[in-house]
Amino acid sequence: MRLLWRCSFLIASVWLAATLAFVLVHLAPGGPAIALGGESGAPGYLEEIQKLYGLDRPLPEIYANWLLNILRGDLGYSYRSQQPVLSLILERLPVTLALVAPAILFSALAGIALGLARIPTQDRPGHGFVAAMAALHALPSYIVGQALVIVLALGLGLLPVQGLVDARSAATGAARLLDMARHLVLPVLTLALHHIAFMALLTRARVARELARPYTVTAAAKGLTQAGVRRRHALPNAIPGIATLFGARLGGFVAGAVVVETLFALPGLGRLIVTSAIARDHPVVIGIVLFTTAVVVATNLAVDMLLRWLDPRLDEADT
Amino acid sequence: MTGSLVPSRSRVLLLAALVLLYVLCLVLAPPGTLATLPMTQPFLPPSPKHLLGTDDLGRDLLEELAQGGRTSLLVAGLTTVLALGIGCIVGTAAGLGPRWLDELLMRTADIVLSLPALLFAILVATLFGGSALNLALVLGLTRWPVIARLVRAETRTLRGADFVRAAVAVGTPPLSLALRHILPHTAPAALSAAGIVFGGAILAEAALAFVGLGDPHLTSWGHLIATGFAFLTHGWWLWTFPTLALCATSALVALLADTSDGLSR
Repeated sequence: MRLLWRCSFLIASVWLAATLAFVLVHLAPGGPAIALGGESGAPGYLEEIQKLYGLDRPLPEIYANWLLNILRGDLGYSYRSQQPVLSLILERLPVTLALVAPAILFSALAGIALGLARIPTQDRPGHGFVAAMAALHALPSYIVGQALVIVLALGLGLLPVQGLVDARSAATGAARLLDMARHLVLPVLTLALHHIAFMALLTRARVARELARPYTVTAAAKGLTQAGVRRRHALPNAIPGIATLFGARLGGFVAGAVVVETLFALPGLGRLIVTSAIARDHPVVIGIVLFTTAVVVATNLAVDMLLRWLDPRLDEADT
Repeated sequence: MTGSLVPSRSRVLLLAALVLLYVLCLVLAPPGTLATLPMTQPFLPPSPKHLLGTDDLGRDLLEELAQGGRTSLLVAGLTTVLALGIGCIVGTAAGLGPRWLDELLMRTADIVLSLPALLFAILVATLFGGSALNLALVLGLTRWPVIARLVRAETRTLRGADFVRAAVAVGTPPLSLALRHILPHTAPAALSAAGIVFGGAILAEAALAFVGLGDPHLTSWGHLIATGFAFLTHGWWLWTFPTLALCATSALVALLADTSDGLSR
């Protein structure tokens, strides 16, 4: 029952996101015909393009057709490149995944470790740590990225400045992958730092809250070390709350990827949606919004289900 | 839990500093748009005549910074007002209303919150242009659930309080109950959340301007940082001063809203 409810929530989210994107692109000034045919195209030429893509119909009819196609699993064809939207997305997806997935993993692990190391105690309230993390959290990711580029890439020459591969190297196979990994170090760091600060503060507060409960005193009385109590008892109990709030930020990673891909000139989904929106390539824009919303919401659903399986008390708390 | 980082009296000072900053931007920024800013020699380092130096087209960086601050703070302010308005109305209605209304409003809030807000801001800026009003609209319309959730939770706890039940018992109409008895108590939580929305809006506007999607007629801090980075080898001041301005403001707002507390709640 609950799963059913959550799945309908997922469908509602994706539908709303895609419909909003549909309305936005169709209400926007300009349009695919002008973008493709030019502002001073031959008479009749623009109308011909409109007709070719079915854009001469009334908007509700376009919407109904589009919705039917979506339900059949057809995201349509790009106006610009004439390729299926899905294949365009899948072509760019690995780059964005290679950026976002390590950033998520790194910020979660580093943030938890950092927060765990700085649990407030009586003689060490850690105001300085909180201020430092809040400041890091308040910094825009691209400023952090630019600072990293200035110091590590331009100054010390340790890492490449931008791009996904070195244009001058003809390496293939493992050497090429290694080259890509080197190019991705700075983008991943840039995307992750903001979220590390958040995770550190969150972990710190949540674990401290658990430590105020009686069971941790029992664990300490039993002879566990302070670190043992924190890691083995307090942290596992704090994880559901931490994971839920972290899951709510997954959409932020995707949006952050747009900025980071621009800063480091990476050919990912974020670049694709911006260039497609400028070229009024409607199917691609709507397709990316639909795809990313579906992935983000589905991931949150999966995290939620996993947590409920791990900790059945969460179910009781709801009802 | 960890206690507030800033005592409430210094918070008033911080708020005053923010208002002062906006007024300063209004006073220092010359009227008109980016195109009408007076030009002199490009890449002049900071000097008594041009306190922060000049940019690649010979415009005074201080004047640009003031104009940029006006844009950035305006977007953030409008966003916050919009999100605060919708958030308070929806949150109070959900907290006081019948169960079906509560379910309807809060599930809507969940769905809106699950939308990638910045992605939509990018779309709107690309398709309709990145004017302050457009950005504030899209950011405000996607960020209100943050405030609505908090206000609803506070309203729910207040609903059982004696003074609220007494007010209901003497026949206070719902609207005046909400306005006179509930909202004054939920306001502190709502304002703290509004601070988080404000800070987020400053960063979002800067990110859009950085990608090149801001208003082309007015500069903004994000725009200045982007061009400053491109001309970094010609003059350090072009990147450094806008970056400092943005970071200082963002940190100020974080302290004001006590983000550390809001984040860990």
